[in-house]
Amino acid sequence: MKKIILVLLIIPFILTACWDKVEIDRKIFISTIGIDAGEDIEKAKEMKKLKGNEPFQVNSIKKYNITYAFPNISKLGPQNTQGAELQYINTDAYSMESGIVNSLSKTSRTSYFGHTKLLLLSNEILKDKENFQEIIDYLERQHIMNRMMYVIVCTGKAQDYIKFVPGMEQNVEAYITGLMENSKQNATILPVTLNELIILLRQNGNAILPNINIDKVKNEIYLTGVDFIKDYELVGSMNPIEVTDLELMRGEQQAGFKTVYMNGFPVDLQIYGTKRKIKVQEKDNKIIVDIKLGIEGEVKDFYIGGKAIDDALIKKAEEDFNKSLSAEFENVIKISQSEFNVDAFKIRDHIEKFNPKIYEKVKNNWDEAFTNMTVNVSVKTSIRRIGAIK
Amino acid sequence: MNKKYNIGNFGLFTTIIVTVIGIGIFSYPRIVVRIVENDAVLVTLLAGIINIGLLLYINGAIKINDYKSLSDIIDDNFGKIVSKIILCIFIAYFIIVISLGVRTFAGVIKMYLLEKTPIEFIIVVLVLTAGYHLRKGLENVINFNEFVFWFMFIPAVLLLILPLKEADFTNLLPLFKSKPVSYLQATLTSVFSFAGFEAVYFILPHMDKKNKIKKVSINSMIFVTVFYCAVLILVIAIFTKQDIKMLMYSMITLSRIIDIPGAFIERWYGAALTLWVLFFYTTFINFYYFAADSLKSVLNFSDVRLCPLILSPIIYVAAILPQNVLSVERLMDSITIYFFAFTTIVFPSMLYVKKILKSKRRKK
Repeated sequence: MKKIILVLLIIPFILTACWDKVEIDRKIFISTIGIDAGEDIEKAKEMKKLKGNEPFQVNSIKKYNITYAFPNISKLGPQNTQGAELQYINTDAYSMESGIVNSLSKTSRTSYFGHTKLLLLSNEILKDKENFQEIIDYLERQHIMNRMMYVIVCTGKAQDYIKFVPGMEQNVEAYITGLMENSKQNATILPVTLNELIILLRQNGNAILPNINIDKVKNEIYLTGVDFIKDYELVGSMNPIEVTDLELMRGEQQAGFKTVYMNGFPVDLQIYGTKRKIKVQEKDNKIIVDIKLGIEGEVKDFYIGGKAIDDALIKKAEEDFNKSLSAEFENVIKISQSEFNVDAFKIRDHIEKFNPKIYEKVKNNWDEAFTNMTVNVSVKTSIRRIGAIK
Repeated sequence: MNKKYNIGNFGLFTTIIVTVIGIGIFSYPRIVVRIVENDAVLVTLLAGIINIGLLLYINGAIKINDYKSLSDIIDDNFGKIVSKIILCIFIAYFIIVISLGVRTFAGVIKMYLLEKTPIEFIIVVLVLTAGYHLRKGLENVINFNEFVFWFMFIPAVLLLILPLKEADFTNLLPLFKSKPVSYLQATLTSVFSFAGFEAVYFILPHMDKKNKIKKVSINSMIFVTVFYCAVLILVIAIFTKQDIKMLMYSMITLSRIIDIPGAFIERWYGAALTLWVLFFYTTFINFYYFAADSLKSVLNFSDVRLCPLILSPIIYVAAILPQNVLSVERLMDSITIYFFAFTTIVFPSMLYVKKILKSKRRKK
């Protein structure tokens, strides 16, 4: 009798987890989330007039249109090296969570967000500050969300991108994450993860996000540069060439590609490493920022009319790079100062950390201080290799 | 029943560490960074030094009472009736810490792992498991501490090393930007978050080599301080002070950003939650034992076996009383700090004063 009671007592301990049992074949692993503005995004502003204790017909308001894409796992296997094609659920929603609730009525399975790799935000969403804030708050609050997912702004509807099947891959998620990972060789791409985005936005509501566009005629997706977000609102964008400058200036990107012309021939420099040093000083109530950028690389194209390359030529090329890059970088800084007033170069961050006295003076009117500051850039290029021939 | 059981140096070392480092470490960065931002590391170092002082103060108080058990020390110094009252204060302290801890623990387990399992069930299973664990007394608890120590800190260190790729240590600057009042408040909060070294009241009487106690105690507190500082430095370097202020449990979130190329052991999330269970369970089981042991003395029982059973319904009820996670945290801050002050400052001071008075009387 004692043994039977003991067994009965042990059973609840062993079976505790069964409460939450979900078989793996009953799950869908959401790999991409696409968020578009819904039909009623303007009407949704009226929701603000609602008092907290008033009942309202939430489901009728289509504030967002959310697409959840997931790979068809049955197609995955050792034979299939291209990845599985995407299936998707599209739903209207008045909030992010309601999107998930609504999607439940369109699927026989449970959604799991722990493996999400990509978040596509329509540029329409970024036009309203509060919508963007709401979405970011939601994504951070959900503990299950993968903070390393890439966040990308797309021109037009996000769902068009999710439905797009690129030539090289079976689905757009593999294509875009592949593009982002290529940033190690190509600085025209600026990959931003959800974690980085949250950290940037927490500081002062400013951030930069990569932007993609779709060409329906040529049937291809291409990168169009980066979007500038100021106080949670989209304020402008930069083209891929300016993005390379921006990234090299930020000192985080170690790779890039730059060109100068010598004797009418292009000299291409593949950049392998950068080092940034910033000196900030205050003169007559004006902040002067001196950025010294050391660039190391290898010339890939160095044909200048058949001449053999010698030390003098290398020195000349280095000087040309120094001058042209300094001017390019200063120009990019001017654009972000005057057009967007967004400090994408982490100058504010640097002043706060290393020049706290100056920071104390400007922290309350940073925007003005940033626009008015003088930024000088000096580049020191070092060509380390010239290839297999002289 | 534990009279013959002797605790070795490693037993004392691990018991202090696993009791002090509980689930508080997961939310500790948020609480301190909110008050003093980047100076949290300095404040933690200072709190570590203060706590070493407090620990030695308690050790001294036990030493002058010839390493007798806590109940005997109180009996000898204050008489039977006052002794029961003081022991009841100890029991109340332990029960409150345990119950609030159980509630936080169960809340997180429900949120992250067992979404549909009722929170009451998680609490019941936990309290019963611990109750069973304690039936064999102190020996079981100490052996468990020694055994589980490696399982806690090897994965914890890995969890701290793996996301280093994302860390930017310049985020720890600027320093010394807070108001003096904030430093004071943060130091108090930080000192309190080291609660748990009161374990020595129950451990020291069973120590094998009494001459090593001071050295081992200091080492264990240094270990705790270094661990707290390492966690702080890393989470600030990765998440920046602004984001930490918002993150409920930054050490769990840390596991969400581990990204090892080649997708090798990608799911560190599970490891972080396993740590959450272990860090909680060790603090819980030790405090539970201390409460049970004190209750044994209050009720004049010959052994500790029945005490966890008596305490379990009280813990259960106290754990389900708070409304939500935030109110648990508020209660933890407002009530337990007084108990902590009593057990670490007031009570040992009473023992010192009593000793001085006794020796004066003897001289007369």
